Amino acid sequence: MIELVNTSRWYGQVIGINDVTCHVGPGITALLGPNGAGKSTMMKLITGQLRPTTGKVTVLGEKPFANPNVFRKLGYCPESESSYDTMTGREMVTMLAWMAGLTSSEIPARVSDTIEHVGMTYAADRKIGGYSKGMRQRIKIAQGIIHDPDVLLLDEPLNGLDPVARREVTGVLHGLADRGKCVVVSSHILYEVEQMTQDILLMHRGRLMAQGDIYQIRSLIDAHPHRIAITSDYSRKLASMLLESPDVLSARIDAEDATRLEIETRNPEKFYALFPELVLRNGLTIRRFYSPDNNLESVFKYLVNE
Amino acid sequence: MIDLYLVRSALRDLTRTRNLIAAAVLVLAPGLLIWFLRLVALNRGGQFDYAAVYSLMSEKVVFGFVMVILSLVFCTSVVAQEVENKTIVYLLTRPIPRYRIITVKFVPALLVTLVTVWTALIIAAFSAYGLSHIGSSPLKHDLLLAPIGVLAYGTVFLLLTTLLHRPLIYGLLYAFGWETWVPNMPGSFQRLSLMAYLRVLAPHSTPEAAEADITSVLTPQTQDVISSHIAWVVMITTIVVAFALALYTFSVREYVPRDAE
Amino acid sequence: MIPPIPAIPQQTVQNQNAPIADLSYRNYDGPLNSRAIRWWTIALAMFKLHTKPLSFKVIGALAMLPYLFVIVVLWLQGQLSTAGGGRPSFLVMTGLVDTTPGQKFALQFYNALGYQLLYLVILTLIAGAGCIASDNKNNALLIYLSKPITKNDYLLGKWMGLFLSIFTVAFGPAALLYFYCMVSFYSDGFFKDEPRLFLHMLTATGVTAAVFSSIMVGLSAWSKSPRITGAIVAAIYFAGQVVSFTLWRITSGGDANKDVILAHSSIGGAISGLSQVLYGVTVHTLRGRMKTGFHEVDYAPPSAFAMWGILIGLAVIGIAAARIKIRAVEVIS
Repeated sequence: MIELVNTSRWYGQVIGINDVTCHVGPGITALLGPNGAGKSTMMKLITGQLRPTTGKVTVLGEKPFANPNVFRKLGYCPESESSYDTMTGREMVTMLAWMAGLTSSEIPARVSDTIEHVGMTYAADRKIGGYSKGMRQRIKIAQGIIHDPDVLLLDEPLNGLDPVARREVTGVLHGLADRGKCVVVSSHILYEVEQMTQDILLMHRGRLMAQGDIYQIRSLIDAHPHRIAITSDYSRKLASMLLESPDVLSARIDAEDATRLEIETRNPEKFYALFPELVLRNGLTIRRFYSPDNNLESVFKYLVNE
Repeated sequence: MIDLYLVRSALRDLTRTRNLIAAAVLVLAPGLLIWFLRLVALNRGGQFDYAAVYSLMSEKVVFGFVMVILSLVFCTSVVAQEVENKTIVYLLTRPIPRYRIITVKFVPALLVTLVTVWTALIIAAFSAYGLSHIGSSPLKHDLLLAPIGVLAYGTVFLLLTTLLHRPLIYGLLYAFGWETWVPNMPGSFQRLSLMAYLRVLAPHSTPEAAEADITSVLTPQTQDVISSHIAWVVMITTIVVAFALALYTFSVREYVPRDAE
Repeated sequence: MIPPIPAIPQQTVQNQNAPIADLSYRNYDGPLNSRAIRWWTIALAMFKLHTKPLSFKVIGALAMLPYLFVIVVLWLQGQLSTAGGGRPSFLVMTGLVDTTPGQKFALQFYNALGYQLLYLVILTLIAGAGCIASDNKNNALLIYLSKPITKNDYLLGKWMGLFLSIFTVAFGPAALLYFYCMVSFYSDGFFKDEPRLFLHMLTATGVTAAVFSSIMVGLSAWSKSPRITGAIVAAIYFAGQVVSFTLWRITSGGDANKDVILAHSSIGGAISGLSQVLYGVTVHTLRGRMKTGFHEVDYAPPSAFAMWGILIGLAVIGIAAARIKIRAVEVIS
């Protein structure tokens, strides 16, 4: 649905994104990266606000810059908090629904439904100027989804939302993804993205560092062996048994908690196959078993070396 | 239907209380000034030359100031306000061609400016001539010519707002620097000013004061005469070219709020 | 002068001799500036911010043109005097030149400031329209006023930042002209005939910058949109000029020295009037009509009292308006 081929964008001498090639299909995809990584530039290129300096950007097969055909099927929730402060939430969503090409007969009902969907019915007829950050965010999301777009881009959509609202908004996005829509969510809060999706585009200093399933990406990072933590009353015995396997590179018992053993392996699949058999054969009790670095944060840390 | 809704929405925005108060002040100002001059004439026992006072107010205050400042503020706001408020992103990601977006936002700005100018002219004419002499006033001619002036300045300022980051500032320089000095320059230089052509189309026979500074007496003697035919051609060409350029610029330019970069 | 606040005792002294260095976060324990100059920090930051945009630099450069023009006039005056052996009559007739001792240079400074006013207004709009309005819009006032500064520190800092920006552009070229005159016309009685010219120049440019800053700060404080603030200030400035001049033209009936106060009862008019008063310039020109012929007329300076009154009044209203409006807590109506 979205395709970037060798795309770069410069702002004078400052580079926004640098030679990015990627493809985004249906489902939720998270666009990740620290501040200044190029996420917003990429969003603006995809939403046709900017033109690429070099390379090509296509959305639904067409170039998006000032292209109404693309915008008919595209929804965008910008990062900026600014809105039409003198309008009410309902007026703003209605105006943008008109502009999205909805017909006069369907607009009132659709606006009410969408506002309800984002949990803003109670304040829809108040001026946006008096809204809190979270309320503005919800209205922005409402205008983005009012025309049921095939491609939806949300720039930091969970900013300013309380935990309940985050869950609700995440639910809305999952609903769209389940219907085959392409949802791209930009964020620098790794934890909240991890709750939402496993598909990521990882940006850093304007470059696309990685794309695809987070766990697949993790398994491809050879420089950093996988760490697996095991809590057991037999940690020393377990360590010596595990070290006999060629796939286990090291074993370390926590200095403060002697029941906690942490091993490093380059081949987690083989280890996960070996481990249950070993435990059962020796009659050991395992209280906890998890991987502290098989998550987004670690992937991010390893890839950007920071 | 969409266009109509957007025009209505933009009109509602332009006619907010704050704007209406400013417009009311500008509408009433020429009339109030005329009444002030009436009182001064009465107190000094002189004669109130209503034709001269209306001509001066119409040329200097309404055409020379109210029309220009309102065109400047309303027409530059078409894009500048959206960029300043960072709401332009909502407009530019909608399935409407950009030329239509700017047109439906420009039309209300023109309408509000024109209605304000018309009202100011009507109030000024009635204040000067009174009901009994209104038939002999050049009001009808001024009302017919006002749209040309509003369109000419409006399209030029629209072009500025599509091109520049601070259209209001450059517009002020143009309106109150260039357009003040150039029409009073000797020779053919005045031909570079819209106001010079507008004065040809809507002439106001301001009576000569008994005397004036030598420069203001001599300069008109050295200026070449612009025919009304040329004035029409220049004004219409300006309107068409400026509007077309504004539409083109808005269609191809990137309008990303600055801090987003 | 308020003495500096004593330094806070170091928190980590006890660890200085410990075997392992304490690398934990340490609070700032250097000297603190006294409260008296905290507004200066804001002023300096604002000055840098105002003078940074390209538009300010471009208009600032254009604002030098009137002084360059005046230098050309002075040069021309010298050439014509030498060539004609007497008064450069045409330039005198148009009010561009006056060879009377005591008026010769003052007239040029007065004219240059008059021509420069348009640029100074535009610069005021560029620099000042957002000086408080942007803070209102972004709720930045809360950040300022959460620091140990008072409302007056904030206001003075903002005002001074704007004042310095405008004053630099107004005074800089004037000082260059003064230097040019000093070097070129030293033997021509520059110091002897007009000993207080520098002081007059300093006051005229200073008052101009102060009045513009005060009006702009006052209106900016009441707004959340720099664009609208700029439009309002521009409308007030230019409308005042158009209206006062039009009214004067009608009421004076062509008499150059009748109802002079009316001609000066706008921001630009009052500044121009006051600079005429300060420089002590009487403009000589010819008035009349082609049919009836021309006669010499002197435009005497307007009443100093009235000009000072108008300008001080405007400045006080501007600052008072800002002071009333600046609040740390945003009230949503």
